[in-house]
Amino acid sequence: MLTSHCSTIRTSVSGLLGRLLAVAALILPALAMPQPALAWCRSTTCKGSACQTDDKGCPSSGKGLGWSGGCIGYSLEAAGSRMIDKEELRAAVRKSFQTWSQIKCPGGGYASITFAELPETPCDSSGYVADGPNVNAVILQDDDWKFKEDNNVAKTSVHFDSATGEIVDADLEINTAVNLFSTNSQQLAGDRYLDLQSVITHEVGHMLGLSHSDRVDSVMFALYKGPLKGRKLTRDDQEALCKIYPPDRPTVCNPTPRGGLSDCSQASDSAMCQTSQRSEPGPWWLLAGGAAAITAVGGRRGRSARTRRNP
Amino acid sequence: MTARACLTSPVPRLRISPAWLVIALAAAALLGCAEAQDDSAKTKCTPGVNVFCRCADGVETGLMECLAGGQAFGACLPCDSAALEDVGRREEDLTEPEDTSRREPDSGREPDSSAADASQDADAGAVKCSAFAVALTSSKDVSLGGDTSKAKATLSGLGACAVANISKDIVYEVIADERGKVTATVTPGPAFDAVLYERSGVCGNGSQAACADAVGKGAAESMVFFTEAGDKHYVVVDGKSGSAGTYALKLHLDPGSYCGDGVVDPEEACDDGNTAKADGCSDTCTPDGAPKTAQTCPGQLVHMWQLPLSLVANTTEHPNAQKATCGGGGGRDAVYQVMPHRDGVMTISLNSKAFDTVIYARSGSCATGQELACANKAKDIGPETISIPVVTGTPFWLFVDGYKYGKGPFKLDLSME
Repeated sequence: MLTSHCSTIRTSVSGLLGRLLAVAALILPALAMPQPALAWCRSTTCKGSACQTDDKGCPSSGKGLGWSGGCIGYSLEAAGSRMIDKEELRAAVRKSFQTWSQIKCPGGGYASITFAELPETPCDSSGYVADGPNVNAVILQDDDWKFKEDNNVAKTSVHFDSATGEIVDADLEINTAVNLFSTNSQQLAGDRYLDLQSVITHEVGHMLGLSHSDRVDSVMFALYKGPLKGRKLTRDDQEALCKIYPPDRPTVCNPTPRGGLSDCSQASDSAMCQTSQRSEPGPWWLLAGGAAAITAVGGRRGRSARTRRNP
Repeated sequence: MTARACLTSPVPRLRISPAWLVIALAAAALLGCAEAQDDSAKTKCTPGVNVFCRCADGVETGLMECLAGGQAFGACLPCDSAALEDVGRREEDLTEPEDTSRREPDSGREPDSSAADASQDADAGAVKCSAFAVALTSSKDVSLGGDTSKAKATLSGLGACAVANISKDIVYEVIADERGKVTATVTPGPAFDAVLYERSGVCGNGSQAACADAVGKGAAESMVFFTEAGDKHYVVVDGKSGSAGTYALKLHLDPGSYCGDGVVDPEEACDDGNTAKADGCSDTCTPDGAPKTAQTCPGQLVHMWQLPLSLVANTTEHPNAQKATCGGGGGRDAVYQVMPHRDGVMTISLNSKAFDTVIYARSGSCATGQELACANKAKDIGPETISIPVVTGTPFWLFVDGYKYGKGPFKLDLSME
């Protein structure tokens, strides 16, 4: 059942710093130790300060988030971005989703989750329509980054059933209003541009229900590590995917979003429930950690119009 | 559950009167929700949708389409072409320049042991086969689907499964996680005359253990082969005389030991790794046919366990090379190396309605060993019997011979006491 309770998750700056400092303190001893424990975390339905954590700092209360189906359809916003060629943008987004598709799992078989590229969408803001069609959109916000309070470089809004943890919708937004992104290797060789593919790959992890990982080499590590360094899944990321979406999970592949594919003619109704994880403050190029805005569906909510971008 | 997907979202937020509920259900039926409920219960995917997939190398990606009926996906494309091109590149890369100058013109096309080794070393640049990796377990059947008309002609079967060069095929690299019997069944579309076979070796260029091409267009082909845990088997869906089309492939693993898996299990007198008949070891793992190994020393190996064993053979085509103290100097011989798996006394009875038989046994060596027993008592046609003490794991050699110039079909009965 979709509940009437609106739950949110917020990871405080001090909490995140605590985890990061704990990792730093363990680096040297770990060099002389066997393979360190994997450190991926799964997002759950638990709420803010009431959310308990385990010894890794991962949420340990609430239901783990995840998709029930085996295939997720996504749509690139038709307007794209003024700073990136449309075809290069489409290719980078596609590669990011492919990175998480049909991952081989230890013991054989593939993780029971993959993606499908659906037609472009005119939707230019995140949202979820409980009683209508939806779209899992990838939106590049060239003109207005509405999450000004945290100034993240990207944000993923995940809408889920707070009783079961089932994800029903997710939207990725890239903060191209403040940051420079590129898919061009020459541009990425400098320090002015962020690697769009690495950032979106990280956000797709949130879309799948993953939280941040302690492992510095992991795609799901909270901070941007530089160009090309977040494009390939590590063992930590693969382990997470195979645990959440094991190969033998009974599932049906239907990539159509919940309620059908939206053309954004209906208003969405989830704006009030959004909150965000914050990344550690630092130089601007370190702020690409990609916050996941976790939103519960159902219940008391405001209604924000889901509008088309003006040309 | 599907009805819930159609109706769930608005329900928690509305106070629904019975009248509204009736209207909502009617609307759901009109929109196809009721039908969708049935479909989703049966199907695994939405027919026609394309989703991202992973190529056999686990790195490259492609697209696979949910096939009509929604029971399976087609091949991951365009993995085939990429993998084939890469095989060509890798084989050239693996050959040092000085070796290349000495090779025969076509030798570069043949995978070799160095290529096999390279496939284990990802850092060195693995040889990629144009095969889709399939992990098979006994707990769950694997259902696959594809369309060979979109593939390339890469392999052919052997013998009865040899196909035309133009026949397109799709290859699966099947690896089971435990020892057992694999049953593969392909169900082709109505216009597709499928050929199904299993091959081993590098990228399926090695020996063939199973083949199915018994029926024509649209009819299912099924075959059985045996596997050890972790062994690679290349299961190939091919087409007869260039036939191509869509198909569904099902793989099933029965774990355990079986006749035909190449391993002699208790109460199996032999196991030659297949279930073919009249090739020396039958489909019930008893000696049969006229194998050449039974013509001369060291003889055809026969394992003897607790239960009685019978075998039928014929010495007509055999040479006359052996004789014993009680006869056999002129008759044709059949030679068996018997391996006891129990301690005790083994009794062997030889019968033939075609010739006057002689039977004898030796220990230590087939041709020059010590004679353990010899029987040539019956005149003309009649049974000859010997009994000899045997020890587990210590073989002896058993000879069927003919008095004077005797030759022909015979039956041996072995039993343990």
